[in-house]
Formats: sequence, structure tokens, C-alpha cells
Amino acid sequence: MSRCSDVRSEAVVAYATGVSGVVPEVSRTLEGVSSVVYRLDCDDRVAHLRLGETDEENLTTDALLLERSGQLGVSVPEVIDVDPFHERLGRSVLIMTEVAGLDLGRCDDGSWPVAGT
Amino acid sequence: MPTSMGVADLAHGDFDCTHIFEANGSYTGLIDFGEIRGTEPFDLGHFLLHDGETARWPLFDDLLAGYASVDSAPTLDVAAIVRSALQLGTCQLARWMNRVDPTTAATIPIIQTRVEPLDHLLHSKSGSVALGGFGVFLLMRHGSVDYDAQPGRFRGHGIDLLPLTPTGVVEAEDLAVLLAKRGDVDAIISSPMTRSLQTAMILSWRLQLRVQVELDLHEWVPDLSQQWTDGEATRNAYDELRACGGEWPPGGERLWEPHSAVRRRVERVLQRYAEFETVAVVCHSGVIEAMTGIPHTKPCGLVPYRHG
Repeated sequence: MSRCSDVRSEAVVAYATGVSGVVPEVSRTLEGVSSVVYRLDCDDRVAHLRLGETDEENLTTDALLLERSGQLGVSVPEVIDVDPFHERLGRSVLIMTEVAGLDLGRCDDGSWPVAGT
Repeated sequence: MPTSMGVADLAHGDFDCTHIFEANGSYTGLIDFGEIRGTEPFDLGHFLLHDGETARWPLFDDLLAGYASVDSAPTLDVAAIVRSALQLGTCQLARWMNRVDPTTAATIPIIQTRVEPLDHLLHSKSGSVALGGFGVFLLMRHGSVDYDAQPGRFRGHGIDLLPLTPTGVVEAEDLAVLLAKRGDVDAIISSPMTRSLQTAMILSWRLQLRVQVELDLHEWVPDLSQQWTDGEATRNAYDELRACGGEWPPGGERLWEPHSAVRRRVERVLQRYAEFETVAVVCHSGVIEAMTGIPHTKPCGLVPYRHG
């Protein structure tokens, strides 16, 4: 098992188009160390497409965990689509909805409550 | 999943502030479950290890306060979280060290970024707690001295009248700043030798703590007849000590003090300070080597030691 490189963005566009029926604007996200994630802008909706890190990783497990977490009341992305292994991309694929807002590492709007108050 | 520590829970595994989302001051969601795994009950080691790296300020204390504000949440074991952070950080560092040339590793940025949070944790109060609770003795060597500055003028412990060099004073001032940042030192004890006393005075001023002078914290004795006259004689005795593994060979007494004798006198001192949380022990490289096995502590270098 070896770690895979990025895939061609055209292949990602083709996959996402097949799922949504609309051609999205695709951009590779720079956050994260290990996961390969693409942002999909489609009309006024945003989703994220994640690829398995290796050709053996099956993101169905992650999809099940997200769904179970959601059922338990944890606010997590909703699963739009999952493919255990996509031949053309050569990897497992998971498409999720976007979580609103910014991560705590980036937010800088002064809206945080101050500890102890 | 049973473990030696109990039953592991399934947890996020990569839980830090880059995976927690907010909008207008309210939590909106959690992402990136790619590292999900069985772990200790509280999956906060990763969060602590990388706290302050990306957010504008550290958030770990806020996280603990959040847990504490939830009635149904169990009490967090902070020491276990710190241990988990140290374990994770060590694993990450080991993985990266396997990919680089070890002789130049210290200069490689990715290695430095892995070492810094570990170093910070190990030298924090939380790190001390995680490594076994309170009662930590910070054995520290005095600042630099020029042992050959007055050749032939003194004999034996007379040489121990030598003060710090200007560099030694700066080293002691830097050490004082470091200890003030830690914020956990509640006692200072010092060897009676001038170089240690001068170092301890500088710490005392910065930390606003009195210095207790302890005779038995003096440096390892290179010549029990007290007749040595310069640094050269000391270095020769030290070389023989090292060659003998720190102890006199069977049936062969030497003039130098064996490590076991150093440990006995220093342990007697430390026992008297066992009720303190963290004690700064200003002493000598020979004492630190006898107590910990770590030789050649640099001037104002610091080695944590737990009594008993």
C-alpha cells in the first residue's frame, strides 16, 4: 500500500458533475496534512470532495461514521455521495456538505466569548 | 477496546481547533474524521500538543472550562491528557526523524516544529504533573566560570571562590526568565560555592524567592585531600571517574568522590524539600551527573529530577 498523488482536476470535475448533474467549480483545498480534499462550488452551494489517501482506503467507513455521529446529535458534514473505489480516480471518494463558518484556527472576527466571563 | 488503562473509546483522533467550526461565536460543526481511532477516554492530547499553533491564542484552558461547565461531563484527567500529548508528539517526531539525516535534524524546520511543542510541554507545569505529580527538583548548573583564571592562587575548595564570568551572569539571567515563565518554582536551594550562590541570587531576584544554602549540594570532589590547585587536576580526576564508571574499583580507593557518595549527600538534602511543588536546585554538573547519569550539563542547563 502506498500513498497516492493528487489526481487530475478534470477527473474530479467529471465525478462531481455525475453526482450533482451540474458542472462545479473545483479547487484544491490547502488545509490538512494527509487528506486530499477539493472544494466544489456549485451555484450557491458548496461541498467538499475527499479522496482516499491510498488506493486501499475505503471512505465508506468514514461516511458511516459521519452518519452515525449525525444521528447522535453531533454537528458534522452530511454525506452526499460515497464510492468505495472509483476506477477513473483510482481511489475511494466521499462528497460532503460544508460546515458553516470558519475553523477556530482561522476565525478572527472578535466574536469569541472570553474565557471566564 | 480493552487496554492496560481500561476501555478505549472511539474518538476523532485528530481533534484540534482547525477541525472545529464556528460562526458568530457559536459552534457549527466538526470535520475531518480521517484519523478516527480507539483512544483514552479523552481525545484531547492532539489538541493540547498543537494548541496555539494556528489560533490567535491557546484554547486548551477554554476547552477544559467548557467541559467543566457541562454537568453531565465526567471530570477530565489533565495529567492523562498531557501524557497522551507527549506520546503523540514523540510518535510524530520519530516518524519525521526516520525521513531525515539525524546529524542535521536539529536544523530542519519540520523537525523543529515537532520538537517545539514537545519541549514546551515537557518544561511546563502540566508536563511536570503528567510525569508523576508534584515534587520535581529542577537540577540546574550554575553559569559559566573560568576555572583557570587564577592559576596557582588557590588550593582545593579555595578554587570555588571564583565568581561567574560576564557570560555566566547573562546565562543566569536567561535561566531566571525561563523559570519565571514556567511559574511553578516555589523554592530555591543552592550549593554554597560562589558560582552557584551568584546564580541563585540572580534567580532569587527575578522569582522573588529566598535562597536556602545547602552545604551538601557542593560539587563532586576531585580530591578528598583538598589539594588540587587548578582545572587540569580536576579534569584528570574526572577522566578517571568516567573510566571507572563513577565508582571506585573493587579494593581500590581513589582520591575522588564516588557517585554513590554524591547521591547520598544530595538525597539527604532533597528529602528536606519534598513538600514543595517544584524546587530549583542550583548545583554543579558533577552533582547532576551523579544524580541523573547525564554528563556535561551546559552552564545554566536544567535537568528535571524526581526524588526517590
